[in-house]
Amino acid sequence: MNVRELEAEILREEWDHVDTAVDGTDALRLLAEHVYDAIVSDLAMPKLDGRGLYEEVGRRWPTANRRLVFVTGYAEAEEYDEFLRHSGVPVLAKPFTIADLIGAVKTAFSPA
Amino acid sequence: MVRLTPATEPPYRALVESGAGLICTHDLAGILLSVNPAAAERLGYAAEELVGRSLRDFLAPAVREQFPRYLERIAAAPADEGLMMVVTRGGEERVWTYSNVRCQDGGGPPYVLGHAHDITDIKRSDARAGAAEALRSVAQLALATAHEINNPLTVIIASLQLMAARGQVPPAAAGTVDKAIRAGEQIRDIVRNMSRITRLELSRQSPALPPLLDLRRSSDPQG
Repeated sequence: MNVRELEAEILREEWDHVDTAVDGTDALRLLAEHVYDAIVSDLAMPKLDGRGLYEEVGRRWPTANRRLVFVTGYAEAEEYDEFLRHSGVPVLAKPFTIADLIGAVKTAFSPA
Repeated sequence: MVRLTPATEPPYRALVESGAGLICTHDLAGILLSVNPAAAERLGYAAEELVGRSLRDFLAPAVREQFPRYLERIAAAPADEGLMMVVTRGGEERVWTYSNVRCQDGGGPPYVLGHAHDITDIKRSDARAGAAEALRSVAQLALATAHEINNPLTVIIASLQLMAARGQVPPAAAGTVDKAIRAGEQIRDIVRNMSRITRLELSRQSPALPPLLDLRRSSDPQG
């Protein structure tokens, strides 16, 4: 089981409809087909990373990127420090607990 | 020591007397015959204090045993160059790069004209840059390792929590699962501290260091 599959499993304990995407490009495909209450994304991803996803989602669906939550390992966080400060997207550090993940997603439901 | 024509002597003399280059002459036994002010000053002496003494006396103790081999080389070949470690009057060891040539004027005895540059600061700067680069490599390796640990650790901790939340853990195993979760959280804390320290090292921010890793405590099963 990888982290993405685990995240989906945890979220399905709380919510009925949870889809997974393998990278940012795949996420954009799903976002074009459905409306989601929250988007949980890794920062470092192949093809389109979290920053690219944030910008593209904001360009296509102007308020949808406010429903993003980023999950990150510590290593790449520095590279994204400036972007994270600027965007204000909540960040969940790995390893997280179930409560951490569910709490972060609930925050994304009602962005400030 | 050098045959100079009257027309060129003043500029050449100024080069030796006032220039920053470190210049001396010594005989084939290594006894200093003349030392320019820049070289004497760099060693912390007056030029007059150096003349008549062996160049060997101003080498760092660790390299003095190499001096006879240098004398053999310069006696056998017209020139010699390399690095020498000198020690100043104050005891500081400094690195000079030298380029010496053997000369002989008319029928006089042969002597050596030495020209050196003090490269101590450059060497120290290089050493500092090398150390900084090594530290940076280690820090980057630590961050990459932390990242690789965090992914499987996420799966371990959250999976165990998920099992417990679903009631999939038999009562007899609940304590063991709880211990496993806490051990996972200990690893998480160690990795986070390590990452924080290495990030601080990378950004060269020394103040407000987080508490150092306490490996003894974290390896203690009761910890």
